Amino acid sequence: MNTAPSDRPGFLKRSLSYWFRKEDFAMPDWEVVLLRVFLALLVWDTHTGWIAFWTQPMQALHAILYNAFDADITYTTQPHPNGIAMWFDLTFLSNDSVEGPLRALTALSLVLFACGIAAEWSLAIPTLFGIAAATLNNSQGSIGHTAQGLHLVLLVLWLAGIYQRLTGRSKSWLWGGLGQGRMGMNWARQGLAAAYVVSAITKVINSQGLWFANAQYFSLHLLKNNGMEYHDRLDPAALKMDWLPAVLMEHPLACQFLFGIALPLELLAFLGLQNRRAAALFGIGLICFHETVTLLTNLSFILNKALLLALFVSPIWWLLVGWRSPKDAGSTAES
Amino acid sequence: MQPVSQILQRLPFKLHWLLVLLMAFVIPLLTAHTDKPGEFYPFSNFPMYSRFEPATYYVYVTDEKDQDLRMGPLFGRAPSDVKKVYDRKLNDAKKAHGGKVKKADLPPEIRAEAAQSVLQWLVDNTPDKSSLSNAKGLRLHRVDIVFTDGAVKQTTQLEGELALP
Repeated sequence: MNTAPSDRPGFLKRSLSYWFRKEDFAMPDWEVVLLRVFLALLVWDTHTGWIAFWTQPMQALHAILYNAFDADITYTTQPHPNGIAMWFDLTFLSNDSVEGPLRALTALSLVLFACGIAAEWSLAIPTLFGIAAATLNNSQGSIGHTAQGLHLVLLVLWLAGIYQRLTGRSKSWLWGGLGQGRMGMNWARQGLAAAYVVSAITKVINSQGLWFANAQYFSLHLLKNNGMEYHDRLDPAALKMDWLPAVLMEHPLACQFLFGIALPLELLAFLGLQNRRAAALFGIGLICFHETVTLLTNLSFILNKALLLALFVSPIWWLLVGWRSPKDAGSTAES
Repeated sequence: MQPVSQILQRLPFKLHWLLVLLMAFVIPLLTAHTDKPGEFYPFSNFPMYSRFEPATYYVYVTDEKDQDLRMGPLFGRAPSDVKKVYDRKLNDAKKAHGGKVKKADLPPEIRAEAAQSVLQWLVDNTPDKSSLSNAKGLRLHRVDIVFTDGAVKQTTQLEGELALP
């Protein structure tokens, strides 16, 4: 039955409903499988650094297969313990006879996870070893956040598996099943969104509400990051944007807009959990923001961008399913 | 008023909000006494770039002749990590001095001591120690970036050095 024009909700209400009404992501089976493979590869990057070669497939493949043999944890002390290192001495991980087998088991576990073995089994070693190694690294005096989002997602995926096992939702002792995979990805999406919302809350608290106003000073950090990037590898290309800070300081509003936009994007990232359209909207927005910062400061954010692309934007789903009418898309998704 | 349990029951994305609560408020509260409040890997309140000020700095390392070094490949640590470690040493020194003096105003000998211990830490954790065999010493330099009088100014100074055997 058609709704009479006078009864139709207004444009704003219809737009808000279109973008933000709660809908099931209805992940098709193939998408769950693809995401498991993609996430396994992302986790493996923290042991091999293969993503640095993502534009050169053969070198990336070589890194995936061989770089783990060169990986070495060298820290024999943890002078500034962080996380679980406050309670446990994690320096045993620098012992090659421990590190080597754990890394090999991580590789095997990630392959099993990609093949569909239940997350509670297959992600136990990658999660515990990955987090412990990163914690030891972060217990040296500096805190790195490069893989923090990924390890948070990994932990949540593992916990999702344990939760389903404990609540009797796992149908098989060994196989996770696609239902478990869907719930895991849903939890992973919630975990990633939480990281962005928390980042925004911290900005508001630490700046006493003046984050947007003080964003004009971001240009000083451009100089700092470009200087550090230069001294990392002595690559003059790192200094190519050194003219920009002076321009931005002369136009503080432009700077405030460029970086201030991050605050609402991050603070409202939870809206991206509502449905595929909102997820794509926030996913693309946050990737664009990361990309802008990458261009200006040489900070990569590659793992965050990859996670946003896979869990929020889902380009392959939009290509294969999303462009169809909701009715057709729904029938495919549930198949 | 609805009981809290009913509101919680109807709250969508409970895990999401639990993590937000944990990372934004609970962990920062529980780690408030540590020198990195809010950090409990893999949980974090992501404090980087949460506060912009009209002054910042970074550090870099050269050999004894002030020749720049490729810090990443040589030491296996990014310059940002080295800066964070140095900054933490200055924070420790500041606390030891009663916390009243600014880090930048710490006496040169205290800053030199902090710089030396950072350089020693870098040497101790260098993945391939033979790569340092040609250097007779290492120097830590500090670059201050300040917005003052309507312009951005950068100044570099030597913070400390370490002789290599």
